[in-house]
Amino acid sequence: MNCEEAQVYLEGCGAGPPDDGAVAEHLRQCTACAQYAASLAAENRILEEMLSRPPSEAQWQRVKAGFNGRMALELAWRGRRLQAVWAVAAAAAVVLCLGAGFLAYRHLRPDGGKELVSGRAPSRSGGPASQAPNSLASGLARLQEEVRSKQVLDELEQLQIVFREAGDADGRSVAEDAELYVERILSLDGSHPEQASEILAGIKAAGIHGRVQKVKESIADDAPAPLRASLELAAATLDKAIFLGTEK
Amino acid sequence: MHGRAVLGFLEGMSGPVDAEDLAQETLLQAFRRIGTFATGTDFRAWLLTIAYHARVHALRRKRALVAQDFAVLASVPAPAAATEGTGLEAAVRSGLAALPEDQKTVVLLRLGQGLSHAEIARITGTEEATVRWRLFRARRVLQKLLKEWAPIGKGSGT
Repeated sequence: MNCEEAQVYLEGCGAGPPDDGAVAEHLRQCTACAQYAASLAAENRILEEMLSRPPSEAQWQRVKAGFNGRMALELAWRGRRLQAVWAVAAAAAVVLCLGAGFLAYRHLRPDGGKELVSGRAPSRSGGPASQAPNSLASGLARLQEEVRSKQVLDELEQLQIVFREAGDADGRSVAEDAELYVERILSLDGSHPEQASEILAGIKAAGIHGRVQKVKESIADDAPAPLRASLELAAATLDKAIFLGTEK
Repeated sequence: MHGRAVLGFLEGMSGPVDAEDLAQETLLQAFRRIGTFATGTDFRAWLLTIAYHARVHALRRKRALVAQDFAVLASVPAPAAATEGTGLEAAVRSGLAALPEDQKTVVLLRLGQGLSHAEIARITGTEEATVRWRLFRARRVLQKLLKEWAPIGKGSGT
């Protein structure tokens, strides 16, 4: 190994002795390269000290707080999704049981269940499933349709990007939280009005609408129109959701 | 503990404002993918791998956005540059920020986090020789800065 090879190797290393035997051997024999290695090690120590300095406590606390908030929302969102999965599974199990029961009934009846099949279906006008949807369910369906047609989630995604690029951590965080709440609105099931109402009331309690309004008010008058429009849309969506949740 | 290492790495890569956001994103991703962590391996290296990919993803998204929506971005103020620390430290950080992304990554992982060349190669999906070469090139720039601020006696090779 010559000096140039040894020096290229050394410059690609951090502090500490070289882990290549040939380089170590060269350093034992070449005083100039040994001195060069020593000066590199001194530089490395300076660089390592600077670059390994931990972030400030305040910065770390902000990250932790942001992470905890996002985790809480994600866990709540997952919980709701899990409930929805269980509800679908339970409904599927009921359908399967009813189907199996019907087949067994047809098999056991002397007429093969023809009367049951050809006869009019029993009236279920008094049952809860045939009840006209209540105002919350229909309002929720309209709101969900509006969220989809106006692509509110996409707008909020864009807002996050714009705020991130602008270095506006608060604006970005509000847009992220608003997105999570709008996702929750989309996940609500109008056939369970009590549950839906509870979640909508939670949106009010979380104060996200007020935060969106604050951001809307804080942006400069000459801010781009799409930015303002996206915030208006988010505020209007959350406003409607809160109204639905508190409507008696 | 490891979360701070992630934040430190990302701060060197992208500045303090984006670093906070990316660190949150990294921790969330780690939470979602915790099942993929192989027990017995280095947890910090695993976290830094996620952080590295979060940074790459953010950079791609940023470039795409700048290309698509330049007009909107041009109208919002740019984040302030990081100028913390002593004169020498500010100079080194500024020199680091000016390095190409791949060189900056290896410098921060090697000198900032103390990872081995093999670990850096795994994180960045490159060869060890490539890592060594990138570090060599980055060091040339940083060496120059160090000489300007705090001359260190140095021998010369033959």
